[in-house]
Parts: sequence; C-alpha cells; structure tokens
Amino acid sequence: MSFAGQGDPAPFEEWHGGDIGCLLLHGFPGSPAEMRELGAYLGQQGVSVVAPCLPGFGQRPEALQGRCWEDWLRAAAADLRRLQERCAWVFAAGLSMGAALALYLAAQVPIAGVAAIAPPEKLRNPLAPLIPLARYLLRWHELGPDQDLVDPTAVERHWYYTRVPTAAIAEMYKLLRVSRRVAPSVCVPVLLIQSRQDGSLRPEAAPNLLNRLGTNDKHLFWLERSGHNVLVDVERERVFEKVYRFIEQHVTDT
Amino acid sequence: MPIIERGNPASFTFPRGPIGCLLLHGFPGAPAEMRPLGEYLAERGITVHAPVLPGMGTVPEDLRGVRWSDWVTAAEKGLHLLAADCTHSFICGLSMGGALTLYLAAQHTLAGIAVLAPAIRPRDPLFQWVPLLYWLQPWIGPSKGPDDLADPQARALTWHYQRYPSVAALQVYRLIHQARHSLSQIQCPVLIVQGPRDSLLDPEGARWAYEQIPAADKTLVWLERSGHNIAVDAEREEVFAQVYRLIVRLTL
Repeated sequence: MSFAGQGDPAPFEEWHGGDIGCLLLHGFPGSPAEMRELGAYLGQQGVSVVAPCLPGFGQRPEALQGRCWEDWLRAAAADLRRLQERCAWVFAAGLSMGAALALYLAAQVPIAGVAAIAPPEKLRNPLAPLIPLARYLLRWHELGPDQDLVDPTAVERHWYYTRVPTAAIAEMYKLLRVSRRVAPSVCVPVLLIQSRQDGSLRPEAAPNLLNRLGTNDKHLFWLERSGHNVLVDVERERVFEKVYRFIEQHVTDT
Repeated sequence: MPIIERGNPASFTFPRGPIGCLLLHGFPGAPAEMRPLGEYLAERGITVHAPVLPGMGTVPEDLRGVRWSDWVTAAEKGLHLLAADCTHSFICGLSMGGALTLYLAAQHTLAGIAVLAPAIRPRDPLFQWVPLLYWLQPWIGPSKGPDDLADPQARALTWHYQRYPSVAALQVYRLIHQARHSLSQIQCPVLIVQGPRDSLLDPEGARWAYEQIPAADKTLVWLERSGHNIAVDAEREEVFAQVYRLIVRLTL
C-alpha cells in the first residue's frame, strides 16, 4: 500500500454566499482530507471554503512524477482566484507545505491574510535537504507513517502517501526555499501556528519566520501537545477556533 | 492597518448597445481596476469588454515567457470580439494599457481612444536600464512604502501582483518604446488624462505624447489630486465622465 489514513482525499468546496472565503492548502505528501474538518468548521461559521487537491496528490504516488512546484502554485492560485470572484475577503490557510505555498501566494498576489499552520521553517532531520540529491540514484523514497501524532483517532482524518518520487521531494524543497525567501515581502496579516511537539519541524525556528515576515500584523500561536499535523491531532479544535478568530478579526477591523 | 485588496481579477464583459469600448488594464494589474469605469459606461448603454492580459491576474510566474506582442494579440482579440457586435469601437487603457492603446491606435481604425495615465515616461531612473539589468535581479518588488493613492478606499478596487519577474519589466519597456514610436501615426480622436501627483510616471510624458500625436481631435486633461491609478482614485468619477463624454461626442 502506498498510502495511509482513512480520510477522504478528494478536493472539496463549500459556498455560503457570504463575503468571506478561505483557500485551504494541504501539506506534503497529504491530501485535502487533513483540511476537511477545518473546512467544515469554517463552513459552519459561514466562510466559503475551497480545498484543492494539488496536482499529483491524493491519488497514486505515480501521479506525482513530473510534477513541479509551479504546478502546485498554479492550482492554488486558480482556486484562490475562483474564491476572489465571489468573495470580497479571501484568506488562505495552509498546513506545512501548504503554509509555505500560502505565504508565497501572499507575497505575490492580493490576499486578505494567511494562516500558516506548521510552516516549515526548519526541518528536524538535518539530512532531509540531502534527499533531493539522491534523486538520480533512488527514484522512490519511503516515508512511512506519521510517528508524532498523539490522538489515536487521527488516522481517520488524514490521507497521505507513504512513498513518493524523490523528485517530488526536491520540488517540495524548492517551494519551501522560494517561500522562505519572499517572507519579507509578505505584507498582509499572518497567523502562525506551531506545536512544540512537532516531530518533523524544529519548533524553535518558528519565531525566526515570524521575525522575517514583512507585515506588522503577525502572531505566533503555540500548541503544546500535537504532532506535526496539528489539523488532525488532539488540539485541532483550538486550531480551528484560532483560524476562524483570525479571519473574523481581520474582516471586521477594516 | 493591513492593506487589503479585494478587486476581482477576472475579465468582464457587459454587452449593451452598438457602441463598444475595450478596457485595457495596467501592469502588473488585472481588469479589477477597470471595473468601476466599465460599470459606469455599461450603465449608460455602452458595451464594454475588459480582457485579462497574458500573464496577469493569476500568479507572477505566469509572466515569464510572455512577450509584449502577446499583450497586443490579446487586446486585438478583444477588439475583434467587440467589433463583432458593435459599430463603433473605442479603446480605453490605463498605464501600460494606455501604451498598448496608443500602439493599437496606430495599427487599427478606431472611433477614438482614451488613455489614462499612459506609460510613456516612467519616473524610475533605473527603468531605462532594464534591458541591461533584468538578468542581474530576476524579480522586482514589492515596492517599499505606501502607494500614491489619494483615496485609501481605492486600493480595494485594484488587484495587482506584489512582485513580478524582471523579464516582464523588459517587455513593458519594449511596449513603451513601441508606443512612443506609434504616436506620430495616430489619426483617431484621442483623450489623454493624467494626474500631476503620479509617483510612477513623469506627468510630462503625457504632455509630450499629446504634442507628438498628429490627430486634429486631441484633448489633454489634468487631474488635481489623483495618484497613478486614476481609474480608481479620488477623482475617478471625473475620469469616467471624461471618457463617457468623448464616446458620446464621437458617436452622436
């Protein structure tokens, strides 16, 4: 089996006719499954949500072959634009690589604000950036299941590949790199959410990202118990609430 | 206070009567900034069409590989679309869209053109070195400091990239060059509207363009308070009225 989790990896969208929209961007090598509960929560509050399944994800790992980070960017931007055609206030919330993508978009195109959830500023594994070098030797990389999740029911809520083409990992690193580089250009409100128990990222690096962001309206919200994928782990309800409050605050403020 | 821009970047068409006006947005913008003008004209029975120019309205990466001639082709396509339903075709362009309008006016038979803050003479002294500098610094932006809009609400009407590839600036450079050389061939009626406080363009460029145009029917209108983007700024209603009056005057 090349995937894990029991969530539904299909893309989803929910339209509520209001003025507020939110783009939901999943992580690597995940799928919209991990964004589904956040989407449902925001939907209940009247926020229209669109969660694209980025090209190559959510099907078979072979679909990732030949995909580049620009494909993911274009897909996200296309859905952002669809939201902007119908909503006056469009935010983006992304998890992990999705957070990097949301920040990158915010540096480039008009967007009302970004909730960057577990943004990959610094990875725990110091050798991880070397994986792309191996792409000429090893075409596939086994990821194995998430080890850091606390909630035993988390598996019901996500869906991700357990093996991916090494080249796709290289593309992910490219995206993380360009996203970090443009952080000083992000001039819209940003909410960062980071767990101290993150098994994939160094949580102590999150304040660095916060400092480098170009905006003055930025906050870092700490979680104490969750693993990397905070949207499916024990403190997810707090994250949903925080993201909604962030959106609400920046719509009424202006 | 966060800068929140919420214009709609999509292209739009409002089919009305037999008089049509093509609306060309600026760089690196989107039809959003032409929408208030489009709605104004459509309310008064004028058919309007505002296409998204290639590479814009999506992500700035899409600008890579776009040439200035692609913008011309896209505008011409819009013009043909308009001509299919209309007996009179006008073009109104803002900033780079203004340069594009001037270029097209030299190539096509038009009922008239209105150029709003046409990109003729950019203020940035480095702009003239773009052909040499573009490969040194692959990306441009975001601009530091606030923009020059007199009406802070106006920002909400626009939609533009915060940064863009320098190769796209090179294409703007080339288009401006073409537009300057087209001026002497423009025979149709021309309206030029320019704000004196424009932070991106030397307003004298508008006067120079006005002087170069040989057409007998030409008008140069100066605004007082607006910044660069006069299609959305404080005096937009006056700009809309000027454009509308030009169209009405020429189609009576």
